[in-house]
Amino acid sequence: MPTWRKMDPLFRGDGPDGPAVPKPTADASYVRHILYLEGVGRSTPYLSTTESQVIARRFAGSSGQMRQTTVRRAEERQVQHISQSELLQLLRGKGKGRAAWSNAYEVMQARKYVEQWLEHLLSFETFSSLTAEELRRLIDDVFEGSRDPVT
Amino acid sequence: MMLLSCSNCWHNPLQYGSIGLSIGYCTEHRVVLRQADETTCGRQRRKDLLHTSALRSSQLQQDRYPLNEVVRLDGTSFNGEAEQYVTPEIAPLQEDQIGSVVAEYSEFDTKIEALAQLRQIGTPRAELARLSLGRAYVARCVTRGGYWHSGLNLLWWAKERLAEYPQLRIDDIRLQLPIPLQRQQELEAWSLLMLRLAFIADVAAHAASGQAISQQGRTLGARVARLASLPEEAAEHAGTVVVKLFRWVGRVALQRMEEALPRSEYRALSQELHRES
Repeated sequence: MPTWRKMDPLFRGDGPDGPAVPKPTADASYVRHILYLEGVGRSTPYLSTTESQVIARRFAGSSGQMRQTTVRRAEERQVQHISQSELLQLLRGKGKGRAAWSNAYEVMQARKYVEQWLEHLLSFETFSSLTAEELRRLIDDVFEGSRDPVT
Repeated sequence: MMLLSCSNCWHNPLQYGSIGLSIGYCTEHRVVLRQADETTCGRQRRKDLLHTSALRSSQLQQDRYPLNEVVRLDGTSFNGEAEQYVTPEIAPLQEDQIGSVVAEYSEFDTKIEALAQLRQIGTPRAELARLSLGRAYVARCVTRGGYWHSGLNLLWWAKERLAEYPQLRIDDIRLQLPIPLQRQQELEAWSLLMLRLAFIADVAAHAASGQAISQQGRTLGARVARLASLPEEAAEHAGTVVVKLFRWVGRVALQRMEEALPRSEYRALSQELHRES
């Protein structure tokens, strides 16, 4: 398997309506986000991405859309990148830092998914002053405005 | 969102992560799931979560999705495209040994017999089906006023296989992940080992209520209740290293199961339940 490098793209697959807009002030727990513990429409300051187009396509499903970005593009727009390697460093035991969690089983489930899905996070925490519409425009800009339908 | 989909639901015992058949089956709605990663409903119960978190997740699902139909993950109905997602036609399932048993599980009132058949088949996919349906079976019994020991036989069967390594074959894998194949198999073996512990922890959680048919059931239940922490202890000890997990399960978890559920007490309660039925 080729090793991902910081200049390589990161992909995202969503349903037909695109990604839910992150909530910058939401709970910043990585485990909560990765495991989707608050259910559909959950508030999170993050968007998940993956190194793999295959994974992004799975998440997009048969009628969704795929987007891509790069770490450089995201960081130029002050969006923080949390790499897979950083996530895996923190998702050990009962988790460290933002991966700290009361339940080691859930930490390890999250770790498993990060490994399987080649997951990276983009954080929108610093954008609490933006409206939802402004955040959506920022997301479109981060992801190169591209919305390729899944074929 | 796939974690909220039919592929991650214990009512679909044919798939879990990248293990399973290319199609799923919903034992609640009695439909073949053709795109199980893209569908869901309000009855979804997550296979990857332990009792309390799975229950909470299901309550959130009920708030968002209908109970009586399978829908897309975005909540919309199929609108004339249902056949692409679900079908009541179960004939294809009969081509697969486990699919055939699973189809019978919900078709006829022979649930425990179907679970016993899955135990006999004994393959990793059969075990996946037995553990998934076992969690649903015990939860349903308890919800309807039954007790933790409705899962007594299932718990014993879980103990029987606890220390066996899940030998996943290539045809047990329903889709390829972009990680080395060996690692993919290791992580899925890890998932299956953890699912064993999750089932045991479910029964333990029900036993913790202290309710049972008799004093014998309550006494044994109090010991079984102590097994509720097995998945968390295993995770903390082994991380996602399947070899470490397997060794811990074979050494620690099995010992704890022996202490909680020795054969003599299993048989005694089993005989009492048989007399009462």
